[in-house]
Amino acid sequence: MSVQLSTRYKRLSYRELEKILYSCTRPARYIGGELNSAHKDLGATDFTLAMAFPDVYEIGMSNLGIQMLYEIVNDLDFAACERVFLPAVDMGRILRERKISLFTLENRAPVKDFDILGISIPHEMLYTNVLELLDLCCIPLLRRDRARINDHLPIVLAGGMSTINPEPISDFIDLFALGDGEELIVEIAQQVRKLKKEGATRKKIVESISDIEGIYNPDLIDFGYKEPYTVDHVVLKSSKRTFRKRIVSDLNEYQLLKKPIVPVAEPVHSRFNIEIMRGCLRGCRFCQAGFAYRPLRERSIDNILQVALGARERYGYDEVSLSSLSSTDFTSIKELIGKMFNAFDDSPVSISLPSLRLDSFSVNLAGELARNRKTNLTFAPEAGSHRLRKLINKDISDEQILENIGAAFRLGWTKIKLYFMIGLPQETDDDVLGIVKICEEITELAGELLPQSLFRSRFKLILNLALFSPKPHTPFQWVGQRPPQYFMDKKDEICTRLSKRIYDVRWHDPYSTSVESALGRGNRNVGKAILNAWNAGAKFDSWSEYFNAGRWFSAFKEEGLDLDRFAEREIPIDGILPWDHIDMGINKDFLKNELMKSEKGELTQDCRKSGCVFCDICHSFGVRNVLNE
Amino acid sequence: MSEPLEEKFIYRMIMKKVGAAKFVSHLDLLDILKSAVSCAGIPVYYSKGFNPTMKINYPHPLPVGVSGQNEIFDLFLTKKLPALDVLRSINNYLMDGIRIIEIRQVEKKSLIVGGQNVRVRFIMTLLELDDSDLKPEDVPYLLSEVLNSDIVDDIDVKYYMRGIVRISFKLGINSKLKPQKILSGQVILDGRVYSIATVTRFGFV
Repeated sequence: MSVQLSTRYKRLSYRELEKILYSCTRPARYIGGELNSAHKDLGATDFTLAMAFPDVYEIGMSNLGIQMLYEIVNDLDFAACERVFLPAVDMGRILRERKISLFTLENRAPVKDFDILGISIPHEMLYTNVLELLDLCCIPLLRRDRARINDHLPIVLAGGMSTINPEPISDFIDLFALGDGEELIVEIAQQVRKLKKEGATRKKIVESISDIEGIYNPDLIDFGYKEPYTVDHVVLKSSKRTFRKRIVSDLNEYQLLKKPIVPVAEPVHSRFNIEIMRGCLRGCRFCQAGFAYRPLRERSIDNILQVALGARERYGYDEVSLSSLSSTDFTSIKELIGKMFNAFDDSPVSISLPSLRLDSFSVNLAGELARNRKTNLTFAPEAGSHRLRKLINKDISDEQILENIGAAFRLGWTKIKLYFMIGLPQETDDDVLGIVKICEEITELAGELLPQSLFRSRFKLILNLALFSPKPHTPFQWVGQRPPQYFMDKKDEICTRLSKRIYDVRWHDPYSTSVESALGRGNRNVGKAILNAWNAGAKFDSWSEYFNAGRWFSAFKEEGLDLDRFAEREIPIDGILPWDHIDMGINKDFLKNELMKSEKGELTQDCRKSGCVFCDICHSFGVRNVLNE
Repeated sequence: MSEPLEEKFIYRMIMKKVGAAKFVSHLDLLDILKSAVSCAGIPVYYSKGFNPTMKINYPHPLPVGVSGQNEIFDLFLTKKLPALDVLRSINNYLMDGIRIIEIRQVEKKSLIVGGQNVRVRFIMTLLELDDSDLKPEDVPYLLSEVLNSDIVDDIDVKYYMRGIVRISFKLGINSKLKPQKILSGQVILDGRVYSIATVTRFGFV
C-alpha cells in the first residue's frame, strides 16, 4: 500500500479523454460529472474504494446496491468512493490500443491506484466481464499473482448474488463480501485506514480484513476432489468452519439514497427505485434471492416517504418504483401507496410495483396505481399446471389465474405478460401443454370480457419462457439442469400451438442457461475454464449479440471438463457442496426437507402466517422479521 | 364537462453545453433538463395525455461531440415567475458543462422556428499534426470539399501560431453535411494534415 502519492491517482487529462471519446459509441458513459456525484480529493483521504459494476454504464447505474454503498462510503469523512463501469467493446479496444488504464468516473483516476476495488456481481454471466475489467485496469487476473506483486495493487473484493457460490471465481478475487454490505463496508474502510496508518503491507491488510464477519478469503480453504465435478473433502486453514453472511437487522437505520446520482445516459430502468423491504418469505423453491436475502425486513413508511420526497428534490424523477422481491407482500402497502399519492399531491409522479402476485389484492392495487395508463400487466404463474406450481411452492390454481386475469380485463388492461419457467424438476409434457392451455383460456376469456373492437385490435399475450437453472442455497441446488435440446423441443411444442398474431413468445438461449448453470453450481475447477473463455474472447456473455456457446464448450474442454456435466449433474443429497462453507443462514436440513416436500407436492407456508418453518435464519443469526405492524 | 385550458407561459432559454457535457446525447440532455426542472420545483406544464410529459420545445438537437455556445429551447410553465429566478433555480441542478445563460419570457406566436432555412454558425478549431501523429490507416478528409460546397457560406479561416487554425462558417441546420462526422478523424487543409480539436455551434442566424 505504499505507492508514492506524487504518481498515485494520476488523472487522465480531459484532453486525452476527449480524443478517445470522439471514436467510441455513447461517449456520455465515460464522462462522469453527474449531478450529486461525489468528488473528493483522493490523495487527501485515508481509504479509497473503486466501486465497479462489470457491465456498461446504463446497466450499472440501475443497480441500487452500488449507489447505496457509494453514498455510505462517501459519507465517511476519511474515505472516498468512485464508480467504474466496464467500457463497451469499442472503448475497451481503444483503451488497450492507447495503453490507458481503466479510470473511475469521478476523478478519472486509475482504478489500480485505489485501496480496494469492489465489484458487484449479480449473476454468473458477468464472470468474464470481471476478468475484462481487471485486465483493463492493468491488474493481474489471478489472486496468487497479485499476492506475489504485493503492495502496489488494490485488494479485489467481490459481492452480490452470484458470489454466494464464490468458488468458480475464487482464483480471481482476493476477498468476498457475503450478505448485506451497509455495515460491512464501513468496517472494512475503518480497518484499512487503521492498517495503512500503521504501514501494513497488502498481505497483512488482506489477512486482517478476512477476520471481519461477512468476509470470505478463498485462501483459507482447499478442496480435494473425487473427480473434477465432485468435492471429496475440504481442508480449512482457519478457525472458522463456515463463513457467515452479514445481515442488517433493521433497514431503517440506513437512510437510503440521500443524494441519488442523476445519470447522464439513460439507464435501463429509468425510474427511481426505493427498496421498501429486503427478503421474501414465500419460499418459491427455485428462487435464490428468496432464500439468500432472508429474513424479511420492511422499511418503515415514514422512512420510505422521507426517501421518496428527498429524492424528488435532488433527482427530479417522474416515476418511482417501490422495489423488493414481492412488493405486494409489504404489510401496509395500501397505506404506503395512499400516503405517497398524498405526498406527491398533484405532481405527475407515477408509482409502480415491479412484481405482482396473482391475487385479487394485487390486481386491484395495480388498477389503483395505473389509473388511466394501462399498458401491460405482468404476472408470473411460473408453471403450466397446479401440480407443478405446488411443487415449486407457488400454490395458485388455474381458476385463480383466470379469475384474476379476468379482473384485469374488467379493469381495462388489454395486454398481459406471463412468466413461465420450463425445465422444472419433475416437469412432464402435460405441464408444458398446460402453459398452452392457460394461454388459450386467457384468450377465450379476453374474447368474452373485452369489447370485440378492443379484443381484435389491442389484445396481446406476451409469454416469457424462462429456462430453469438450479441455484446454490435453494432446495433445488442438488437437482440437475435439463439439456439444451429439451428446452428447444418444449419451446417448439408451445410455439407450434400458439398463433403468432396473438401470442408473442420470448425466451432465453438454452446454451446460455447451460453455461449459467455450469458456472453457478461449479466448483474451483471451473475457474480455469472461465479464464480460457475470456482468453478466447468471451465477454458481455449476458448480451445475446456477444454470447458464443462454442467458445464456452471449448474452454471447458481445454481443461478436460464437460460443461454439460457441470450443468446437468445431480449432486447426491449427502455429498459435499462446493458452497457448503458459505453460511447464508438457511439450515441445509431445511433445504433438504423442502426438496423432499417438493417431490411430494407439499407446500411450506409463509412463516408470517403459519408460524416458524424452521429455516433457522432467525435463530442462528439472532435476527427477526421486521414488519410494519 | 371538459377541464378549462391551462394557461401556458413560455420561457426562452439560451444554454451553454460545453466541456465533457458535449458528449451527452440530445435525448439524455432532455432528461437532464427535465430532472433539473423537477428538482427546482418550477410549476411546469405537462401534456394532458395518458403519459403526461413535461413540455419543452427544443427543435434543433445538438449533435453528440459538438459544443453549443448558445443553444435555444422553450420551457412551458403554468405560472408566471421572475425569469431570473427560474434561471438560477434550474442552474442549481444542472451537471458541469451545462448552464442556462439567458432567459426571457416570449409570446406563443414567437416559438422557435424549425425547417430547412435555419442556418447556424459553426466554429472548428484544427490542430496541425506532426508526422509522428499521422496514422497511415486514417484517410484524411479533404476540408476544402466542405468549405467549397454550395451549402456553406460566410467562411472565415484564421491561422494562429503553433499550427492552430480556426474556421468559422454557416451551414443549414438540416444540411447533409455533418461537421461532427469528421471529429474523430484527420482533415487536410492547404496540403497540411490536421486533427479537429473542437467543433462548436454558435447559435442561430
